[in-house]
Amino acid sequence: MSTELPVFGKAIRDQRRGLLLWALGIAVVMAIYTSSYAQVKDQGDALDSIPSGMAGAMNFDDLTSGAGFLEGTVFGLLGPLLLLIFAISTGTRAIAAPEQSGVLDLYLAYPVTRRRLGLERFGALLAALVALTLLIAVEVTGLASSQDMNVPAGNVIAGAVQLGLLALFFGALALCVGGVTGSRPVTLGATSAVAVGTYVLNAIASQIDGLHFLQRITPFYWAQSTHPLREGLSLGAVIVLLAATAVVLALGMRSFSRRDINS
Amino acid sequence: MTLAAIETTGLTKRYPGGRGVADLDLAVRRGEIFGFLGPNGAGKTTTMKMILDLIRPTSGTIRVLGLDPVAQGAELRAQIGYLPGELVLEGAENVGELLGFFARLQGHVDPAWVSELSERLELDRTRKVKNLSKGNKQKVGIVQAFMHRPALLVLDEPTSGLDPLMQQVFLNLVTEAKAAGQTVFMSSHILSEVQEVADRVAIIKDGRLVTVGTVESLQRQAVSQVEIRFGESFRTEEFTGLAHVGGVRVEGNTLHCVVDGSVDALIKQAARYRVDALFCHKPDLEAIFMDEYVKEGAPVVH
Ligand SMILES: Nc1ncnc2c1ncn2[C@@H]1O[C@H](COP(=O)(O)OP(=O)(O)OP(=O)(O)O)[C@@H](O)[C@H]1O
Ligand SMILES: [Mg+2]
Repeated sequence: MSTELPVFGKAIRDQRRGLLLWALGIAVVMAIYTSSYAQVKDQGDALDSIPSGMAGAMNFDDLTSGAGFLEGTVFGLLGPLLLLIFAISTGTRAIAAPEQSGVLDLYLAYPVTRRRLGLERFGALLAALVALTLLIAVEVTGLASSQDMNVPAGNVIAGAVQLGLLALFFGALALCVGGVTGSRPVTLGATSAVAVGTYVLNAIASQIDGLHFLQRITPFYWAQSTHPLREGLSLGAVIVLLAATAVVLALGMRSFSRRDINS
Repeated sequence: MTLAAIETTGLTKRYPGGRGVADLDLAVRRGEIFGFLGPNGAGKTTTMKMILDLIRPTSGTIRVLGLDPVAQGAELRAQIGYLPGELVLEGAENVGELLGFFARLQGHVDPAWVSELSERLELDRTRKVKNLSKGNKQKVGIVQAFMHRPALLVLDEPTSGLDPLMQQVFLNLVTEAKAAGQTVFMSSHILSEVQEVADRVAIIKDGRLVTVGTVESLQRQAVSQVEIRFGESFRTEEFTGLAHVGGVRVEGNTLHCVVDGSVDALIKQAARYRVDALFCHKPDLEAIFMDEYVKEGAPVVH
């Protein structure tokens, strides 16, 4: 096989249009939410009506400060939602979807190993998430300074990076489940269930004394509860999220290399 | 370098649900065109997928071009052109772009040969892949299988969806491949589809190899089905027990039977009556299966 990355190249070409639309959508949503900061700040009292436990669980502790606002909205809720949907669907399209449609039979008849095919497709996911992370970092930095949010640019970038890593983990998880099962619905279902489950677990465990340790098994704790917008980049979070990504990727490739391709 | 292009011994694939292939001993020689025949669910695709390491054998051994598909898969697949039985192509790109991707994935492909293949198959490379008809998709599948002039072509029902003209173009490509020293392993349901080009043919049924031989030897073994419509009533007993005649069945004034060999006795007997019409079906795959049944002593049901 050539030294080029043909599978990576094709995946990039295939996702180009979709990625552009996602970028547009994310940019618009970010802009709308971030620019509502001025109103929220003025109506700060209204938010007091939200029960404090729920507000805490939802990252709404402190919506009137710039960092708190960003953590509660763009980085805590909408950003993860959009980015995770993108990452999980892209991760599913890496193995599970083409395997189920049957097109993988043809690709794997070429002199490419399954591991290499999976890793090149992961590379395409990584490239897309780097692009989206960059977009979020640049856009929110700009909006934050124009809205006088008082959040250092470095912290916005840290928030975007940790958000991107969170999405990367779930994309890798989808790729892994696809590598193990080869089933599109199982991959979408299981990965989404893990995402929702760990999100809820992190939220609930954060409100119950004595259960805080449970938060640490959720990727959301590392991505969000380390408060990058307030505290800056958490090196620990970066390491944990990257390591978890590497582990699920390795497990997925191992299983994918060893089993029958079903179609 | 071993002589065999494909060599399996006791090759077995059991699916969780049951059948697959069982105890398959197959030897395809280098440079021959080998037809792999069998009815639906016989195990043809299963065998081909094991050659490409898309699925792994439950037991038995398989060597392809002297290599182990599991341990040396990528190296082996560089020398194989594969046309899947259920070809799926997707993507928003056009045919030329998709073929370009396949060429990069393969490594060294001569663009002039890809153009020639496309032209001979009358494949329009500017069309969008997703809008292609079944036959045109099949042409893309054929081009990608042939484009790197592989040592071994594994073609799963290659002519499905092709019109008769294109089937002929395809058969020419296969013959040329053989002339160039390439080995062709192709599956089909119908003997007539491969008999024109195949050097040897194997018949597989319910996952087991039924028979292997040259087309002529199989046809000699095979029964022909004969149907005679008489213009008057006749005595059935006169037709049972004739030399080479079996499976006699009567429907009004029509006689059905199978003949394994010379039809002389049957024709001479029939000539005693007024014959309105006579049909003789050439031995096709089905007839060969029937023949296998007869040999095993099972009743012929038709
Ligand atoms: N993934 C699978 N899981 C379970 N059983 C399978 C699977 N694939 C094939 N089989 C079974 O194995 C047997 C052989 O199937 P195979 O696809 O090899 O047949 P085939 O000769 O290619 O048939 P066709 O002419 O219809 O293409 C069939 O009984 C089929 O139902
Ligand atoms: Mg088949």
